[in-house]
Amino acid sequence: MTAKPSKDTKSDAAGHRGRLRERFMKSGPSALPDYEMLELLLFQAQPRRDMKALAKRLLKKFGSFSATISAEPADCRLNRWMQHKR
Amino acid sequence: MQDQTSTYAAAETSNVIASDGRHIKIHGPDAFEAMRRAGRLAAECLDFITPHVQPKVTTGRLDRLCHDFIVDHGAIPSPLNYRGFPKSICTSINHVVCHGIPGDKVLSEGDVLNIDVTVTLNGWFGDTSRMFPVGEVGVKAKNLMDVTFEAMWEGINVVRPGATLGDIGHAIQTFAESRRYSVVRDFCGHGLGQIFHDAPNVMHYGNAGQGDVLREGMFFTIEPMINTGAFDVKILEDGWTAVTKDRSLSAQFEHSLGVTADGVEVFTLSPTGLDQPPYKD
Repeated sequence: MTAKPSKDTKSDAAGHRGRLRERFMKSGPSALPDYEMLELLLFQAQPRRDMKALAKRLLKKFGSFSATISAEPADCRLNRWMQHKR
Repeated sequence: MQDQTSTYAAAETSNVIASDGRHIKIHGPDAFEAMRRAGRLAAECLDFITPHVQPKVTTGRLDRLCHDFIVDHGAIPSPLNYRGFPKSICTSINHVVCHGIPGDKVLSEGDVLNIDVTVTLNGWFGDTSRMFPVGEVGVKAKNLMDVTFEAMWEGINVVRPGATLGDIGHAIQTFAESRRYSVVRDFCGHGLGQIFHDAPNVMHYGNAGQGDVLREGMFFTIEPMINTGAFDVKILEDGWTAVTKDRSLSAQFEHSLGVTADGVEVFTLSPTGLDQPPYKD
């Protein structure tokens, strides 16, 4: 199974998930803004897509982190990709 | 490819630091033996599935057959649930570059299919893939498969202690581009052993003499993806399936290998000689 080159690329996105997890583990949730906390959760649902924009859109729609994670799944359908997920 | 005798005595398990800061593991003789077993099973799985690749067969059926074969041989299909991948093998048809998800897709006469199998046997990963023509395929597809197979071997043949990762990429790229094909940039070979995807990244393009220096005891895959059109790919909405942006044909072959004292040992050669299509008697 083919690998995606990551660590040796110059892209800012390379290793983003790892760095975010590391910051969370080291400093706890207070060190992360809400959109990054939401990104951490979204990582579990999507193996490789950029989740930052989606996290920000969800927060904008629901107003807060707690409102977002307690929202009805049907209300979270912001785009075509999410309509395929349950 | 060489006979393994006492040449690994000096290759104790340890790490070397790659240029990107990751640790490349150096394996000893026991690890070579474990990789031979895992690699052989992965190759046997591809041998087993070969006669089942026929028109009107679904990729889901191929997945189930491979899954059962692997489990029946005491191993685990490594892709299953790996980072959310839903199936046991990857099936990539025509313009799909890699990571195609098996399902209801029915194979048609003239399709070219890559089946990528990885097994975990006693904790060690054997990773290999081959192209399969479905029935009679066109000249363009045949040529692409031939060039991709040769390109992989151009890369494998430069592996020896002292060569660099750039030498591998350069050999593959030079060969493929001389035939007017392109080499996919967005995916690469990888280190493996007791980890599925480990350091180093093995690019299939590059400059001779550049990159990390190979050492005896390193394990990695070489798995070039070669396109008839441009090298650009995009990922479909399932988050996995990579296709050529221009919908040109793509092909891939893959072997897992280890660097020996004087060259390379390929762990995933077909025990029955079914390494390259056509697979007819």
